Amino acid sequence: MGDFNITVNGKTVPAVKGQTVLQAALAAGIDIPVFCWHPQLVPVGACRICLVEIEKFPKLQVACATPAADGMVVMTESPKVVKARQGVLEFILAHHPLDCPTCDKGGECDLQDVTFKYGLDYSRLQEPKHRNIVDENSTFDDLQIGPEIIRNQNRCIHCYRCTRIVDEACFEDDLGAYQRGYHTEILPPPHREIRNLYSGNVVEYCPVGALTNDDWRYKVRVWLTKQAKSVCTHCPDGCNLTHWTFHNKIFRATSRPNENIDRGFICDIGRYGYQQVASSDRLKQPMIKKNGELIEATWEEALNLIKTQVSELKSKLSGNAFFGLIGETSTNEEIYSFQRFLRRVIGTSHIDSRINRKRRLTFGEEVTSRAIAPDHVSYQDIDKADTFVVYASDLHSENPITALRIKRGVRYRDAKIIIINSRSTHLGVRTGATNLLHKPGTGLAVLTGIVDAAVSSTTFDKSAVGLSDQQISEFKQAHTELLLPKAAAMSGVGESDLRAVADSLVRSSNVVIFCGADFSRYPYRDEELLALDNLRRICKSAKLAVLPESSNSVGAELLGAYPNQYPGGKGSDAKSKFEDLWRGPLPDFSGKDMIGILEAINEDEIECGFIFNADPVRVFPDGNYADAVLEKLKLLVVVDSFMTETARLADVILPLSTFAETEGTRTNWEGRIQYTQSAIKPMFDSKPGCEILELLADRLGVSFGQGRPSEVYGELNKSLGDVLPVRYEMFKSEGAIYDRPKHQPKPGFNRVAYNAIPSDREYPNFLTVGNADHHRGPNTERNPSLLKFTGDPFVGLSEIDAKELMISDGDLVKVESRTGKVVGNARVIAELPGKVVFLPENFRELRPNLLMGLKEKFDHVKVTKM
Amino acid sequence: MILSNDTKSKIGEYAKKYPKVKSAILPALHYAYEEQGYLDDSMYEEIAQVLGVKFIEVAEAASFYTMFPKQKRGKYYIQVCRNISCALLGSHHLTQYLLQKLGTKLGETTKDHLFTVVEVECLGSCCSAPMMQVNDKYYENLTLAKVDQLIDEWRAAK
Repeated sequence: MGDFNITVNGKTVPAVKGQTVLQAALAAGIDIPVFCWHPQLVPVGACRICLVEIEKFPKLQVACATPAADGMVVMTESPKVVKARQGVLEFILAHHPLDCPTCDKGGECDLQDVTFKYGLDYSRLQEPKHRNIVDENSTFDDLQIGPEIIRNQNRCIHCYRCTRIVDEACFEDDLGAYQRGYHTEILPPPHREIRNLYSGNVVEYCPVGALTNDDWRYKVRVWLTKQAKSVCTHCPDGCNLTHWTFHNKIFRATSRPNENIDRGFICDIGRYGYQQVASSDRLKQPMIKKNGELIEATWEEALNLIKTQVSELKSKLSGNAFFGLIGETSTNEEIYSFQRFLRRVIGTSHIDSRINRKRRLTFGEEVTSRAIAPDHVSYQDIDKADTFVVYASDLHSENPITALRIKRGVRYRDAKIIIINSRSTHLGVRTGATNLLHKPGTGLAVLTGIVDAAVSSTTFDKSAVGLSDQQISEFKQAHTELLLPKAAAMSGVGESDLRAVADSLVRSSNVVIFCGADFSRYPYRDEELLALDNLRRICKSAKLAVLPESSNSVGAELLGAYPNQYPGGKGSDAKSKFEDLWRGPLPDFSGKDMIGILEAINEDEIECGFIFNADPVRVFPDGNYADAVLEKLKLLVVVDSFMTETARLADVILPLSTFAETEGTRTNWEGRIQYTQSAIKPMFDSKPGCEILELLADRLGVSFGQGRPSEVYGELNKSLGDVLPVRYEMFKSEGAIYDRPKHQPKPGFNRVAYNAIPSDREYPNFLTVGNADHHRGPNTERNPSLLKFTGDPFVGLSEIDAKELMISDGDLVKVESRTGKVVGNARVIAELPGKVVFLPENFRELRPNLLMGLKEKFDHVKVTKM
Repeated sequence: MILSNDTKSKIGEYAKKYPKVKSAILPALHYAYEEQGYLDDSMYEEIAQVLGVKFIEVAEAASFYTMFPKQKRGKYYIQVCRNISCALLGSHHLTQYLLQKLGTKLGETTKDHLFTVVEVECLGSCCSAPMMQVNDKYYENLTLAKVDQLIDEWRAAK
């Protein structure tokens, strides 16, 4: 158990060395009131409410900052303690307005609770209360200090949780405490607002109503609400959320602390990202296209139409004339049901979920065959690592909570961050990170240059990492074009910087390498993976994590949303097993992937399709092509929650319930399978995914009798017990980790092929795509709170390019490529290197995929002022 | 650039004395105040840069200490004692006389940027009341005539 015991209120309580009295007591279920203390922050002892009596101590001690020691005898509710707490509260309340009836925190306020328990019903202080006046003409003292956050300084009890969260936990600098005593004011720095990506946490953890947000304020009283356990679907981090609902409407999302993942801090995208559930473009009813126009219909009409049309097409064509695409934010159960529906009911293997990839063979296929796979990395590995390599990823906006975990390593364990990217990212700010900023498309040269620097160093201990002289010389022979002086010149990164990074990698005892979304868009994706594997070889201990794109990308890979893979990652030999399980014949094992499907539609081989919770027209890297091709289909059934660009092309639309209305499980980037409760009943006439798929299957003559996620998961659990050794009920307590199959790396280095990106005179700029502040992916623009942070699309230009083209902020510019053009307002971004144009992928008015040609390997563009 | 390179290097040197660089914020503010006679945001920015800390950390510390002036003061910072001994001997009258003579208000600076008059608590010179401190120097046993003379001297000296 513990290292030693202490006695709290007469009860023997185990304590661990380094634990405080408070932590030991809380762990044993003994409650001590706190205001300023938070488990993830360094204790400061500012509020004094946690005073306890400890034997042999002459004075009362603050439980939050007193280390527990062997044999300590602690009393948390003795008359002396109660009297002291009364006194503390009397002082805290001296200037508190006691405006609980009009305060938004009422009902969940720590000060209210503690005062109710300990406080006096009078005050001996005669002094008038100090009032912080914001506006002389107003009786309210509210001050908007950020796009979402409102401050009422009068209610503040100066616990400094907010400023410490911003500084210690979030590594930001946009909130501070000015002045002192009762004049203290919580404010952002002059001429700035609090708008960091984690800013919502200060509202959640304010123990009083001093900091509130527009999102929740004055809409509902907290005691009227119900809570539902949920998991965020905006990125694959898988943070745990609580949805607060009243009358079938969600009012807010807060963190549901999970020690294994988020530790109680979530980003604003997760916090305000629930708002899209009530978006105005929700699909309310099934729709049928008649004479080129979508008109509302009943479920019965829509299902019957699908039945007649599919039966008709199937009588003429084989299953191979059908396809299915599913979005990677769907639940595991939806993905499984979807692929089962297509394979068993429709009879096609043309299924894919990777709709935004440009390359045909991607991860899991080509790469696994070459025996390079990502390691099984988890959040716990981040806590152990002393060096992080972040390759081609804007980790801060793509995986905000993973980034937070890494930054924590920097603060508490002096870990180092090495960022290799062609644009600078927020992760590098104030983390002492080494930034290797390279020319676009030359990441391979940087990686190979680092490996060369390491193996060429006289101090390199090759036997420690199991490399032989022969392997090293083979590496050098194979990569003559990418060795050091050339690699540095090609990438624009200093040779000494490459050497320094190599040196620090070789000396690190535990390295975690992350690569992210930028990476999947790169033309040299597979080669870069090989080069990253080489980088892994020079380290004593290194793990490689490929961060997936969406909240359930890992689940899609696992549960057979890919053409050449059955659920559980099973190959063609499992065909008979699944034929038994699904009681019927299955089509040929091999199918077409996303690009293959579009090509086949173009050549009239495929004529009918089902698109589930996905918007290929919006994200496929050739938007014009996807649009034109999908238009050709004889029958397109779209199952989605919103009126997407793809849904507009549909012949039949079935309204899908959103994540908040659907029970199910999702698998985060670690492979942790987590359960989401449905917070509200399906809105309008929408239905949850599993139910829709069961209805479709039933109508087309094959009933599985599994319309509920728990029933689908039951089958999954039965058939894939070796991969998913978890029963559905177990999710209700905590997620379970799915262990990826391990791959044995082959000895020595991989051979990396590289061709420099040809320069394009006509289209001289290089297009990079990413996320605008407070946005992630194509769905976040449906959340009004997030639009307050970045509301309009923009064309990001470097200072050099802007100067050359005489463009300044806000000017209307045209971005053209060989395949398309978009028009938007320019924004000059100081951190952007020359010749790089940055487009956020978050806004439908400015879609970067219109500029991407499927046949073009690189995204060259031209910018002109309009 | 507001702070001189000399002050900046002094701040940098001083910071080396501390195991944590944050501890040097207060001495740095003193150096900046000594040179400029007041503190403002742009100085915090420069101090933050020299020390390698966040702007907000410097700004918070400066705002905590109310005796760091945040606005530019006159060349002669006149602090008249208002506590009991000086008050009995007419310090209030003296202050009013000063303000009238200089044509300014309490705490405000004259248009020629020469004088700022404030009232302060006891400066420990009760035996020579009434008294005032001007910049770092005490002027004691004051009379209106003495004050006239001093003001004339300072005006002449500029």
